[in-house]
Amino acid sequence: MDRLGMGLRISIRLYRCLLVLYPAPFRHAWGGEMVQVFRDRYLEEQARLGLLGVFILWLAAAADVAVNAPKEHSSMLLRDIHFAVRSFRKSPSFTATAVVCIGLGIGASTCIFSVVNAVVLNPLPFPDSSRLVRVYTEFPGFPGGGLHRFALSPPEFRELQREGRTWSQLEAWATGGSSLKGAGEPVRINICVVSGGMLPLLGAKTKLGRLIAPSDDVEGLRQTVVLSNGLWKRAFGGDRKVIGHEIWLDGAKANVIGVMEADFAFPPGANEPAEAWIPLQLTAQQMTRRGNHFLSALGRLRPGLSQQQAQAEVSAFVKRLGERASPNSHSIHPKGHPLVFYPFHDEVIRNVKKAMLMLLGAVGFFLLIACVNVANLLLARSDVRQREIAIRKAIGAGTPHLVRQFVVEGLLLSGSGAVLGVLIAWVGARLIAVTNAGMIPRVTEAGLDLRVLGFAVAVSIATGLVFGMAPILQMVARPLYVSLQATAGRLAGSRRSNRFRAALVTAELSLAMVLLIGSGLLVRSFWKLQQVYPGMNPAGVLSVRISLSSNAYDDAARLRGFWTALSERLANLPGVVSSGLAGGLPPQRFAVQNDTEIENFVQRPGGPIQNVAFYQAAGGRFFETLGIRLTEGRFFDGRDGAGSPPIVIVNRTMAGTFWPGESALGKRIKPGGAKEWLTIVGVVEDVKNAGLDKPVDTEIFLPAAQRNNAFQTAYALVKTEGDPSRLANAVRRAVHEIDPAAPVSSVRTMEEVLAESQSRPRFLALMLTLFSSLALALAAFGVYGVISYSVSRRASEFGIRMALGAQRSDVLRMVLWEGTLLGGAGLVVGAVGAIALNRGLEDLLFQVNPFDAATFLGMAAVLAAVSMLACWIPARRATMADPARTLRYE
Amino acid sequence: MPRFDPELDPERFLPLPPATFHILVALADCDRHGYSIMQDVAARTGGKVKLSPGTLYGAIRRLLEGGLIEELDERPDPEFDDERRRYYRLSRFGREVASAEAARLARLVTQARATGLIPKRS
Repeated sequence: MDRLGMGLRISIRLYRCLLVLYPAPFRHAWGGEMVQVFRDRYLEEQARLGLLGVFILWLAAAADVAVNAPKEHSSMLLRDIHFAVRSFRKSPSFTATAVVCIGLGIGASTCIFSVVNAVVLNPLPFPDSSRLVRVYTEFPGFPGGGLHRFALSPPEFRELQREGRTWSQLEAWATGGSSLKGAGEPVRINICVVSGGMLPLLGAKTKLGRLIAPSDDVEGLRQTVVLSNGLWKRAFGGDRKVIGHEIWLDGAKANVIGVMEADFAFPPGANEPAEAWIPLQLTAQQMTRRGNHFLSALGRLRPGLSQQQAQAEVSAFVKRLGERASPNSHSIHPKGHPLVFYPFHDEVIRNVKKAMLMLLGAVGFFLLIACVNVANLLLARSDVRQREIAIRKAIGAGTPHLVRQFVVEGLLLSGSGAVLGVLIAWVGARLIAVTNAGMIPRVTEAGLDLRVLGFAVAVSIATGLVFGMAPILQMVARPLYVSLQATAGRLAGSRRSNRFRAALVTAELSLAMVLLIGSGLLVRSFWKLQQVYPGMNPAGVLSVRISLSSNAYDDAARLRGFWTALSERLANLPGVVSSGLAGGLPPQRFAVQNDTEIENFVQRPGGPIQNVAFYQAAGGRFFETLGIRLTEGRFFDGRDGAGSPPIVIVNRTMAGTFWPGESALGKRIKPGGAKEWLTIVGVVEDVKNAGLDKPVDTEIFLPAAQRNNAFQTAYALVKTEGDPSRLANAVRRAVHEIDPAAPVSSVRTMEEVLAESQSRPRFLALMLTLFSSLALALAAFGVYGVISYSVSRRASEFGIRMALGAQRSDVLRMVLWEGTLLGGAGLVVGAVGAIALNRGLEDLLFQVNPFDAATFLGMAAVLAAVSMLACWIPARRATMADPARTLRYE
Repeated sequence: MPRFDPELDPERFLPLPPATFHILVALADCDRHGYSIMQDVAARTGGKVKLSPGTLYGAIRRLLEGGLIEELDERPDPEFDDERRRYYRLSRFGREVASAEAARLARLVTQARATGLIPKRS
């Protein structure tokens, strides 16, 4: 009997443990009875079958719990959901506000996350891409801080390729434009020249034909070309018989050998993606020119080699080369001309990574504000629901049950918000990707993949739990009798709960303050960028890119003939004030950093070296058309033909660099590759050439009419009094009257060209302004909520005060004071937060200090004004209290 | 004229899950506690239907919520019973639902008989 008793006691204890798997309310209601039933059956089975009976009973009990416990949980959850939906339906405005709030928060954060995911998190779509490194040369001693992340010359590339210790493979590429003929109308395309092993290194796959192979990359071989999927469809109508087809690229014959898969892009993240790839085919002449740095290099680190080991290998290699280097500054040397390499992915997104992470941080703040706002709404609602909660508690709903109810409500709200948010994110990500407003590399890949959706789900669960918790904390903290008292009506809610809500609003205000300051700084920085004088006047100027095929224009005379004819036609177009030609467009041009001989130059330690950053070829009335001011000498004119003495115009920086304190006029220079001295006939005002936000570098302007290699591609510029875009068709016609086959592209006003160069700062300023305005609106809403609540709570106090002689203005002041305290606290905490965080903005700002006092003060004023306004409405209501009525009520 | 309340339409509950119907049948003639219901069901089905505690109390919870059964306030003399046991009684509405289900099953049996699935009554 004793043994039976002990067995029974142990079994009952174990069975009780098993029952823990049921939901608590169910357990509380039926657990005792279930134990009772278990005891009865135990005794019965023990009597019938002994130990075997007990064993069978246990099996049955375990199976029973395994089947029915989940059932009870799900049915309870369904009831909670049903209950929550019913209660949301009863307060549709609350529900809609909360869902929109969370939707905006989750939408904005998911949208930016999808961009960050595509740009920063997703590895490059190449096999083993983490081992790919971009290899550069450097000239640390170059004046003005040295040349960094510089290109390689062909001899350097071959030298590096032979060094087999660091990389298992090293390949090179260069990009450019080319005119394509052989597929209907001639078109201008972006091409990428690649060394033979590049495409296999990238694991590229063709849709048709084959890849470029090392055997194609041999000097003198017939040129081959692999088309991008897009070009194949656009220019060849997706013709599968294109393989073997003969086309002309800049006049040279090439055979189409392959068509790439649709998703292949190299170089990755280019604003103008390559549409065809051709083999590099370095010539013997190119192999002799160490100063001709035009190749970008990509290496794959040898397996098992860490970054540090690779770095050590490269240093040793550079040292070895340095030992046998000639004094020539273009030889690889540890001090004068070293090698560096960085992970390829980092290099692709180098310029935007910081901005992306900043945006993600900003959007995270915005999400927090949205959460706090919803938590506040829920708190206000839970105050209103005190009666319901108190009654439910009083009739036996345990705290766990109520907790679950709140969590379910929170998750339901955040889940609905997430559905809206994902929709917003999808639209937002498409907009960012399609417009590419921020010129962000790889942004076109942004979309909703599993990771992004996972992010949205995780954020919505986290937010649901966070703001679902707020009323729970309050509920747990509040004794039942207080809630029941509260139900009497007048004392709706406690002082403590309002303090909690005030703390939340303060947090919200401080987060909004950080965002406001961030956006204020970026807007100010963008405004400063607008104020930069580009050195020219873009008003009324239209620019058009024209590319001539070297097949039709096989000699310089023919080319010159075309440009001369075009210049004449453009000058005579009705409405054209002046016109000109240029090799490239300011304010952001390709830096050639070409060695340029300066007559009678004496090298001084720490002084400039004989090198010029920018070469610009200019034809027609280029300077007059762009409104570039002359400071000395003259512009090009009719005297400067092919046979006349060779001349050049330099910018003020160039004149100041090489002839400080004296006139540059009459001085002579010999640009890289030139055989004759060119005499300087004019000095012009600096025109931005390295970007609006960068200082102007040295630049020379060569007359197009005198250049040995006349333009193959040039920009035609026409200036008019009115809207320049109206001239587009006339310019196109003028080009096609001379040569119907000449491709015309990039038709833009110079104002658009300038605006494009500022697209990223504009994008950042715009995004942050959007987030901070929304944040400000949400925070104002929060302030309004807390103050109105407090006003309603203190209505009787105000009534009594007014009955005792207080003026309306006193009451107004009292309420506004409460708002001032909230706003002031938010302001101070926000400003401190901004000071702590703004270091991260430094790189994104132009001529604006991240701690700019004016921005801090200005944004503080905005926040204060908005929160005062949010207080004003409830404060006015407080002054409307009728003392007589209040006293009667008392 | 009394308004029709769909919440109280017995047909709304049909068909009843077998376990639920068994419980209602067990409670049709007398009030019982949980274990007694289990035993009654087992006895009437010759041991073929054995309700597990989880199934039984899950069903009792739903029946209580639906108003088909009621819990009794009065308990038998503690000398004869454990205090923890709770007794249940079929409500009037529960009886209506059980009758409707029984009628539904009877109609089904009649149909089966008409089609020769089971032998006709002599």
